[in-house]
Amino acid sequence: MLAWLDRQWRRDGHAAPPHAYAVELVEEAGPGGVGAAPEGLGVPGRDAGWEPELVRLPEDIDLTWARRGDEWVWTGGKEWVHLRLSRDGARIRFRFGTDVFPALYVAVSEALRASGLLPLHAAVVVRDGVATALAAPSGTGKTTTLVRLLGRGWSPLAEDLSWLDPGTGMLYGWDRGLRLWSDGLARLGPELAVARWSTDTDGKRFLEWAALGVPRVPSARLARVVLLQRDAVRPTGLERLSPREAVRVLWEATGVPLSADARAMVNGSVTRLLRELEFHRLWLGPDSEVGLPPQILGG
Amino acid sequence: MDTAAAFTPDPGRAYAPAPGIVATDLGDELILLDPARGEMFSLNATGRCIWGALGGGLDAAVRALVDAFDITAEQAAADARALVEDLVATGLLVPTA
Repeated sequence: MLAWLDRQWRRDGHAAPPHAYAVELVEEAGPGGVGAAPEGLGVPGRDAGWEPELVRLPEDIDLTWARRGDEWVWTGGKEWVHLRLSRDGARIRFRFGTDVFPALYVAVSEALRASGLLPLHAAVVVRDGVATALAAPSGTGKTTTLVRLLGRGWSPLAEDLSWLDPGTGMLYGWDRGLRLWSDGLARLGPELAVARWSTDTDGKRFLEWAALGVPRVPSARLARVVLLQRDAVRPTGLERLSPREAVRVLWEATGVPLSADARAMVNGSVTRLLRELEFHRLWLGPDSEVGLPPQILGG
Repeated sequence: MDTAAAFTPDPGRAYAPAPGIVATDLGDELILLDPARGEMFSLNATGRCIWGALGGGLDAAVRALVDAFDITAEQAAADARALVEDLVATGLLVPTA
């Protein structure tokens, strides 16, 4: 499991400046029964000082953690995740099981947020070395819009997740290709619908970037965030977002950290990003079903 | 919220953001985000001034308003009291011990 995680993290082009913050990840083996987290890790209502905390993930996944100060514990069937944050680093201990991935994602994201990086849940396209993030709730059309832009000279950086270094403005793509449910394939056009899609363990279909015939850009400077919004009547078009709307888009795309220290740090980054980035809304009207107008996003 | 038991702000008591509330300052507007409810609230320049001073209590907020805006102390006190009532009722603000 650790070797797999290491391969996920070390990517070509991910040459971020070194950070002093250390994230330690430890996989623990051993026997365990239902809810068998290590001794001493609390259960809310039974152990003093531990309180339940609900964490909402994209795609409507809710996880209930136990929290005590800067420690969080999640327990599944036989698997569990323990996260401890400090000012100098983070330590994540876990026991592997088939349901551990969402909780492990939360822990790793939390640790990376504490280090200063921000996760960005958006499709990202790049042109002339500059990245545009396409943000929207699941099902709005991020992937479809990304694919349509690839046909106009844009390159992919991410389909769903990338990591932003607010200090440098650089965005590092995480995804290895397109991932979507089968019912979304038809909207991508006939060529992609019949491409060599594999099926992931969660049932989603996956297509590597190389199969799209467009080189992926591993990292780029983020310049713009575009909120995609469907409308049954309004024609497809671009407009600027108000500062208030831009705040919501940023917080929803990056997620709110668990720890107060990380929230304060991310809040500072959000305030700076609001000044440095452009924010737009792309209305996807009925005419968007046949493609994007030429003037959209300059493509 | 229990609207039957109306909250009366204590002039000498300090207030703090409720746990989890995130405040993003846009300069002329303060955006309050409640991640648990997924709701956002906006405070205008006056509200932003009050929010920033409430750590020192209601009296501190009144002084901040009088210093920043061309209003009387009585008006400032009424504005601050009304906002604190709203913020506590909405779950965005809590009295500190």
